[in-house]
Amino acid sequence: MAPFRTALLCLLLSLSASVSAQPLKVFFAGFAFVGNAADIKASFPFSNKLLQEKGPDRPLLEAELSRRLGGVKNASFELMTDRLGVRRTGESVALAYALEWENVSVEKLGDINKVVVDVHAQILVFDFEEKKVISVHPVAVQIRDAVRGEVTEARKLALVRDIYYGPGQTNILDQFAQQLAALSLKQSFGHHLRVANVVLDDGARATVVSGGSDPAVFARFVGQSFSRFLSQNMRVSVLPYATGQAIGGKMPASFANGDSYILQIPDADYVVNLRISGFKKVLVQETASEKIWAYASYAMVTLEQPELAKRYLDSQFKFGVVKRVPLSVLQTDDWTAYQESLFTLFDQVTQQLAKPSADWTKKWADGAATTTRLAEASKVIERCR
Amino acid sequence: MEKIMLKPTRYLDVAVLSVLLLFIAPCAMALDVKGKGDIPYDGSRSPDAPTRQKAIRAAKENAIKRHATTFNPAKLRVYQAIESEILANLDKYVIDTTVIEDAVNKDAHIYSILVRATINEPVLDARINDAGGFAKHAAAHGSNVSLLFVARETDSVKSFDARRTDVRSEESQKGAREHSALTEQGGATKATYNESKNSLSTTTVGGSTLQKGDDVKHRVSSASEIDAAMGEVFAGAGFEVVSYTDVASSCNGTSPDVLKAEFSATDEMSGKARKGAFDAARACDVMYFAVGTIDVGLPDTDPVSGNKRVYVSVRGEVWNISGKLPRRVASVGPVQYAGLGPKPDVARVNALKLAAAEGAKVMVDQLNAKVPR
Repeated sequence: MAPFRTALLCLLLSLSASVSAQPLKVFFAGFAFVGNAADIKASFPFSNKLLQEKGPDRPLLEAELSRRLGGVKNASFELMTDRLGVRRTGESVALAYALEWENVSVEKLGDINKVVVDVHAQILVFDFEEKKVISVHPVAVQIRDAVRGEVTEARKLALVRDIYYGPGQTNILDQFAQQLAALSLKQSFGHHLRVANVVLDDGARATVVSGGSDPAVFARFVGQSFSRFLSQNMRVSVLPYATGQAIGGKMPASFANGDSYILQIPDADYVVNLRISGFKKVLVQETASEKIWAYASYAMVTLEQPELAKRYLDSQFKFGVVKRVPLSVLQTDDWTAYQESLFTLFDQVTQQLAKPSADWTKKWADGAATTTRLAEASKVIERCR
Repeated sequence: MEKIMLKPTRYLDVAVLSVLLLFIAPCAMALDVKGKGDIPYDGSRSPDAPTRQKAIRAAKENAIKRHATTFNPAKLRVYQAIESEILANLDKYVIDTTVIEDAVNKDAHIYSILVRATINEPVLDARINDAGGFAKHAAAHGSNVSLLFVARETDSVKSFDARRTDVRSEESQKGAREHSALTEQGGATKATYNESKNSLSTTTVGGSTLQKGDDVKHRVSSASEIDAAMGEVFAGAGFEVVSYTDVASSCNGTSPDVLKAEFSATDEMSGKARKGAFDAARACDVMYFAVGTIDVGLPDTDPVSGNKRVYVSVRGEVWNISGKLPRRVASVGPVQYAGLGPKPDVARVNALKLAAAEGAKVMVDQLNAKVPR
């Protein structure tokens, strides 16, 4: 009997040790897109084109991503690339390179075209048992080029290709790998927080349309972006605004369970609603050589518990970014500037949630009342960690 | 009666073994449901701890009741008969409670609390199943059930053009009026005669259009996913599942291939085929016969995830064949479900499993509600 008891105790102790010491197993899902699959071609024309370039067994871009990830080590998690996870055995977390924004902006300066290429992605980590985004970490690269003459689609594609395949600091996949090595991950069992509604007021909608974007697609992009800033700046996990291609399509493929594709996001305990009021462009200053424009965006942000009709934050915010435009520029890209303004607004508001500042709210909101409400909202959001 | 006493050292073994089992036992299927409790409080002071406890209990009860709103009518009927017993033993069914938020209505003196209750769904479903009459009935009368469900995919569709028949009729009427007058003029009589003619012509057009329905032929297969998913639900409810292939071969039933061929063209078995199947099942001591179809649609692409999506439609019936005349005792559908997957085959299997399991649950709940307790 004694040897049996000894064996039982040893088994129990080893199980306890393994459960507490084992890093989180995270299954790598590869290259994915934030947003609906049906919108990929329109929203990410260049990255999508590059993804269609096939290698012997998979797209070349996927292979390049895997190559740059080789050897990434992290103490808080084990990145699984050689097998599928099996859900309901404790393996439920998947990670993807999720492309969030691709933008190629062209501005004419005399006979030169200034081309700015932005690619923003996320290290997106999703828990398929809790149905939560447990970490979203931004990775972004911008490159600039000057082109004499017409900027062809081929030239634009070549610039985006450089971001994925080129060397050095402007390679987004290298940035992704570096950030991944430094990431700290843990599962979350806190309350459920979600961006539930995004509304574009008429003025905002008109600006979106004149910028060449689809209002419905832009609204989804806004919801996903605010979710990302909230998660990143408040260090909380959030329910996804929409499942999209990354969470609904690509990441379930990391698991052997076929029913991983049947994904039902749970009800949120607390919801954020966004109302984009509008955009404005104001001439701040004109000199002999340039014009200085301020691009402002306006948004109402609410945080509430809907079943008890309790509202913690209900405030109007604005933020402006300044753009110096040489007088030789014949055509400016206003829409890119408006988007930068809006996403900087989101970044700022979510940073204020972490640490409200009276000076900031005095300038960009309605002062003391908003500072108090931000502090209240912050306490609520902390319950979601 | 002999009493078995454990020696103190044996207690330690049992304790260690029990803890070990906790590590290796699979997690129960838990379901999170929100519940809200509203409790009046003494307005002269803030809600105290006992008030809060009462509100939490009320919220847990509310969570169970909200979960019951998702039951089909048959399951709800059985649940309602034992609701007071379930609510009196909440801790058995609500395994975890997380307080989300609370609110105080100072005007109405109402203290409200919102919780997320984790419900042990398998335990709750087992109690509801036990409360239904079937378990006792099965013990007394037998519980063999034979399942015959087929998956059908569209093989060909013959569409017919509309057949139009035109009708045209013409009628004409002639009317005439005579007018005559006799006048005297200077001693002479002058007669005048006027004639006017009216003619009226009408044309009536019409007709009919005959549209014949599509002639649909199905490709039939007996999918193992359906048998497995349905069998699991029926077995869990206390039935003993008997394969129809065994019934047909052991008791001279209508050949499964003949039945499949019939289902390729129609939604129901012919009288002769049905009699052959039921007679054989009866001869093989089978008491219930469950039969139906799951129609599989063509795959499309889900615009959100980019996955392949397949819709299926399930319909089925359960017959009690114990008597001379078979009686239909449960039915479901047609009800649609969809499955997603990276390829059409994966999406199809996900859809079939979901439709089979959900369809079986509805039929089992109806049986449970129907049998006297």
